[in-house]
Amino acid sequence: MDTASPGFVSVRELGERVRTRQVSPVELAEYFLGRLETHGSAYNAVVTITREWAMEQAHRAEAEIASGKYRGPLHGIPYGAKDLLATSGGIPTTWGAAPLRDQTFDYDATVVQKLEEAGAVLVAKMAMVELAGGLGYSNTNAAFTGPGLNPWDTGTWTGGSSSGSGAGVAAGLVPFAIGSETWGSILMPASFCGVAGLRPTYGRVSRYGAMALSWTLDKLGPLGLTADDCGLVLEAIAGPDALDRTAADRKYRYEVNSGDRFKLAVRKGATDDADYDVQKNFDRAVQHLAQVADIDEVTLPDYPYEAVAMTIFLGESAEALEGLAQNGVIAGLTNPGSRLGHFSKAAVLAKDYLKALRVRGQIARDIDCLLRPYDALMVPTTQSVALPIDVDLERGWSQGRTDIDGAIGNALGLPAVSVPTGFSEAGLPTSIEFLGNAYSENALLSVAHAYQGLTRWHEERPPGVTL
Amino acid sequence: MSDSGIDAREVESRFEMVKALYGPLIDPGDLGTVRNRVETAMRSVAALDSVELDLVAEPFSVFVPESSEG
Repeated sequence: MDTASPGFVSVRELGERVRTRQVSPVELAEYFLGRLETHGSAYNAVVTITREWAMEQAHRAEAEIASGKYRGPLHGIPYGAKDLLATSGGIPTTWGAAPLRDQTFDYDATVVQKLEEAGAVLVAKMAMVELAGGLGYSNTNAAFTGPGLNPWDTGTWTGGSSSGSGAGVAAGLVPFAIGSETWGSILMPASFCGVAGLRPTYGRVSRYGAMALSWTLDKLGPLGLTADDCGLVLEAIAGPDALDRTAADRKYRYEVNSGDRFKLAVRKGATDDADYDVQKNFDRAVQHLAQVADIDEVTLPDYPYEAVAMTIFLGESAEALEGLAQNGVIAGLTNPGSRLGHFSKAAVLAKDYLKALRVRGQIARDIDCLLRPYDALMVPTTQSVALPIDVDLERGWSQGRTDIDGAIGNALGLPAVSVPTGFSEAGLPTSIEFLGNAYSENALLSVAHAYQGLTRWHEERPPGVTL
Repeated sequence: MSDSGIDAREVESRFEMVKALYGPLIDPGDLGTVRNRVETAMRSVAALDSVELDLVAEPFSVFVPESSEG
């Protein structure tokens, strides 16, 4: 193997090393399987290490590349998949839930299939909050694998629900991972773990084979070391799918705009609820971006954003999880809050749900108009840094804070990219979110890529993590 | 109507509905927590009433009839 370790190397760089045969897919697979086996449990990041599957894919990639069939930048690159993506071959897909430890499927999720077509190598199913956090949870111990421990400080939480995907990338266990987001589940762990995260436009990526939590809110997307890596992965997993009628009939090609000056906006009041360190680093990031962008401040129209997103979520997840309430799965979950979270959803009536959908339509038109002149709207990804592992999530977390940006982005199905902006005094990552209109991923990735060209935060590594 | 803008009687009636649906699955000691969650859900529902809509404002997700003929 090349003397340069593949740990904490971007997908783009690893892909180039594979293409030029500085490193082989088999060597990469062995390296990351070894890291997963050695360090995965230190962060409760892994459910299943797919060694046999991975080595088969890696050998196939190696043979293809040797014969001149190079599939592209993900060919031979290992990755982890959140354990709500169906995988065949007897590999369990647990949804993070103890009663489903032995659940298997006889097909692969479309995302897994597309990554196989791109030549990527599945090395692990990554830990997650049970049932994607769809029942609420009262503390961070909300998966049979234990709470997600943050590589920057294992006394803090990774965030959820894509906990293992965030920790896995941050600890150099996988070059990239696939997560899912219904409301915050990609961007929060990306922010808390100090990595890049991309929540695609609703419908950009097929949801076939992913656990359904809320049919009109669920989205799948990548977490990686850089925004650029997220773009490479999105190109591989995006596109129409006959198996998911909501998958948009649009092909996607990742292209970065590096020429024109950007037009950006900051939401008025975006940092009002933020921790001091988050606010300070956000302001500094905006100053950096002023080198490459014209920046306005915008005011959102007055709507009950969170109420809309919450009512839709409650209405849809009430039905999505009903079978699991009736068959006893929910009663067997790890977290006491999760075990109770389903029942109250039945209080949302059909008329409430439809009202929320109607309001969503009105908001979507207004926000589309607001964002149209801009490449991205900027807000802190999360208002705080990673929370203590023993935080009381029902009482001690939000402290009255709102999540307007998360509600807008998820209720309206808008894409967002999160990248690190620095650290708190305690050494925990902070991040900025770029939010845009539907199907504006390339604009968002261009801005994030430009920001990462101006800064080096994405090159920092957790102090306790060794290669 | 309470200070929080939600109708206490409606919260109670929906909580009773939840109990009727799921009572056997809920430990009696947890009913207070479930009731609080019903109230939280009702707060979201009540907040929607601040938005005035015309009847032409249809639900954003419109059902598309299946057709094998495209």
